[in-house]
Amino acid sequence: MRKLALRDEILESIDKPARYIGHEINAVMKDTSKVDIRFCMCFPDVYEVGMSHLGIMILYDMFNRREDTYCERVYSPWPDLDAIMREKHIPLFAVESQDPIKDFDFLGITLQYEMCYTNVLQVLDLSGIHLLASERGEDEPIVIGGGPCVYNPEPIADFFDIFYIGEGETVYYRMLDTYKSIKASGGTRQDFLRAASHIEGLYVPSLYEVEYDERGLISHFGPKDDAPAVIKRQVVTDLSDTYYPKKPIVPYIKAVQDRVTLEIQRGCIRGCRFCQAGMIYRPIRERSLEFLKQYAIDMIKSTGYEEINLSSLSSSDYTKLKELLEFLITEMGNRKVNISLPSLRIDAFALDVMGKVQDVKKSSITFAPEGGTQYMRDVINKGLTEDQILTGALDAFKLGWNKVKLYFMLGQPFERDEDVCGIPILADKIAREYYENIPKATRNGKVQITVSTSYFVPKPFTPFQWAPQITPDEYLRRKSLLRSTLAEQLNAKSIKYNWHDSDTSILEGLLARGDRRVGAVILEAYRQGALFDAWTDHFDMQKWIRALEKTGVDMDFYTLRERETDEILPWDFIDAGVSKKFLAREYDRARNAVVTLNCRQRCSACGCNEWNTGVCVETRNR
Amino acid sequence: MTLRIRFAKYGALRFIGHLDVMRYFQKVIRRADLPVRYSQGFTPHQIMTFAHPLSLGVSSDAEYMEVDFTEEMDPSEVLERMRAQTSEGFEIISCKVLPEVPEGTRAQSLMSLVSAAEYMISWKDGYDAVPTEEEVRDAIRRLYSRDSIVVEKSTKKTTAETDIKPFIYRIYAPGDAFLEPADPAFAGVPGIARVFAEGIDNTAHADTFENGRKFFVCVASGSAFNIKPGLVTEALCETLGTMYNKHAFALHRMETYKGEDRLVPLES
Repeated sequence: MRKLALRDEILESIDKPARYIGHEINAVMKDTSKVDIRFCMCFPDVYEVGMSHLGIMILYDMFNRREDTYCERVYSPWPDLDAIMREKHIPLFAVESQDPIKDFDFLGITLQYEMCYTNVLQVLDLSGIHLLASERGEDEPIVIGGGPCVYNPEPIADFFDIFYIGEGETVYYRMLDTYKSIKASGGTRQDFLRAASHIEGLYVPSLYEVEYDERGLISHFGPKDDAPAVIKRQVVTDLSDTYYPKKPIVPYIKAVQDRVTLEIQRGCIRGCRFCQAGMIYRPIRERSLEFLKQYAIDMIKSTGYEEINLSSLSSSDYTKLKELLEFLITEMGNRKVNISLPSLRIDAFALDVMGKVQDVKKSSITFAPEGGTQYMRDVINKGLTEDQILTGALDAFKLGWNKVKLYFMLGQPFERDEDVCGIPILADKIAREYYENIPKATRNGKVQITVSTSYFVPKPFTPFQWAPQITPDEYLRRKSLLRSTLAEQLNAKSIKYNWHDSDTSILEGLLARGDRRVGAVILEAYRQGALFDAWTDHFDMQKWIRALEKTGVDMDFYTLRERETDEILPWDFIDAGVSKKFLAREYDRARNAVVTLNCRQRCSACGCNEWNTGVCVETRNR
Repeated sequence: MTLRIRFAKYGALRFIGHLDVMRYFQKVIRRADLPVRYSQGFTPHQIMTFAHPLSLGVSSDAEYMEVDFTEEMDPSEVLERMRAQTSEGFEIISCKVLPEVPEGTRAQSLMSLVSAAEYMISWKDGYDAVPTEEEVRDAIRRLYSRDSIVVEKSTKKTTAETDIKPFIYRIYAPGDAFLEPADPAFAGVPGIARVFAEGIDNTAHADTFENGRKFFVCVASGSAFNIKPGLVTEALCETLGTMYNKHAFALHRMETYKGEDRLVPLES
């Protein structure tokens, strides 16, 4: 029997001990004495969240296909175990072998949201790895970061040895081969990092230097010696001929995503100006229908899951969605497997499909207009009109739905008070569609509309990367304006309003667009006890405020300041595909509320066509 | 067709909770591609019931579940196909076809059948105060000779003093004869007479410890009366004159019984 890193007494005293015992269905078990490279993949949040992440599953499968490599997993210990591990000096361990992380060659950490940064430090700390990369010795793992947050890695640059910029399927094997040969020839950690810096897509922050001018702006950023000046984002060109796990791991406890995930495409054609994902994953690339059909069946068979979920941005844009869903409805129906639909653009087709796989009485229809007026939706390039929303809602009402969810953001650039007021007015119009057109006899109770607003955070590599974030007070003012306007609406009683917390978002703004100087704040916040900041119950703004005071970092400089378009941004050294010129052009069009057509309508010369794949090739062939 | 399936739970998987065990077996059955019955509706789920939830950390050789099949199946084939899909920590032990219930009647639910469960309770290594074999034997006799064994039984809301003696159906040390109220040695001692169908020794999946100290106890379990084996252990520690530390004991369920006056394993 396998020996566990935690004694029974500890497992009996903590919440959900199954988070730490590993040995799940389809987890890979290898003889650790027969591999050359031990890689531990980390999602710096609790197990149930981390186990829901597709990216790790893909890389886990990809690494473990190599005979010379054993890839395992680790997640953030929950605060109950965290306290015990610190008290009893138990080193953090991988769930598979239960071996200490410190004994691994690599610790790969996926960075999916900025609010996980203190958890990154927790994982390093509990592992006994020096928090600062500069202090790490030969016997410590190489710490490598990946995921969407690395499109501005600078705030956490001090904690990482390497960042992998882009899609993991491309150059990881090359990195592992390089590591193996350098290790075999007796090379040092520094030898490897230097070699790694010459692999396209890998950024070794210690090999770069930054200088600031008297205003605090970056005056120079560049490699210290022969490292490349620009780091090029890695892109998979053929998504139907690449790694994808046929046997994903099935956790014993319920994960957030308790289902098979089928990634149907990567990227997005829409070009919403607030959306980082829509920019950094360009161009849109579809997986073939045959690939998806086969994988859907294989994964259901190998896991025993009772639900399958399609994953992508703007799923309605997948060109063979109709064929895929028809196949899945029949095939999964026979197997008693539920289909969890992605958010679809509400039209006749979507409603037909939804009606087939969900209980109309219980489910809701969702719109994400993100802006309350047509002007605002033009500013953010959200190609959704009021007419489309009202027609879609009415069609749904006629088919029996009576729950509508609406998502908006407050504080996007160029937003006026009338745009804020437009949100409840739009919600009220939807309610009117219901009461005016659905006869009382056929109504299924009252219409229930839920409006949610989040606090907009400008992100790198979006047209709004130069824009100021509004202050928390201003956000709260707009929230109150929205609420009071809502109260004046005829159908106010049918509309529920939820808003997002302001502290988390302003901090996210700091972490998203900060530079290397922000690293000190993260370290100090962690020292103050900040952890699980993405969890409302655990987030404590006071700890961050103390950290800002102690480090003397001015948060407003990073969040509220509008940048000039010729300023050196901390992330400028990354070539993400979309050019700075394109982003600036889009920012300008936003200012003038001019809509830009999507990739399938017309190429906007964003810069991503150099990869010669996906939609860029589709349109050219037409 | 309904199958009653017996399985063991052990090792690291002792730390999987009851609801997750149910979810686990639903996936086992799906992976084994067995023709089981599903509920109706938008989110169909398998018709599957379990006998008696096992506490976190406890191992067992006697877990039971019932599964409805839509067609006749050879139980040995079901056993084999399920075995191929279970991981270390779970082992399918047996698979038995239940007799058809007469038209118009409903079978009694598996959960409501349960009347008792028997445990092996071992002293773990690494904790203080492991008694000698003689001390354990002696303490069991002294404890069970008492007219009543009053303990504090706490639920989520309340704590009440309860006499658990009537709900201890037998208690014994290794190598000892079973001590039960029917035993002539206990003539005149109050208790509910239970007759056991057979002797059992289902400890194949239990953890073993160097010190070797342990005892066995069968307590009332199920929806009518339910006594946690930990309560008996606590009372025994008191008799031994040692402090009770729940972490110092490894619990292993050896059998789950049905029946009132005559206790028989759920399997039979």
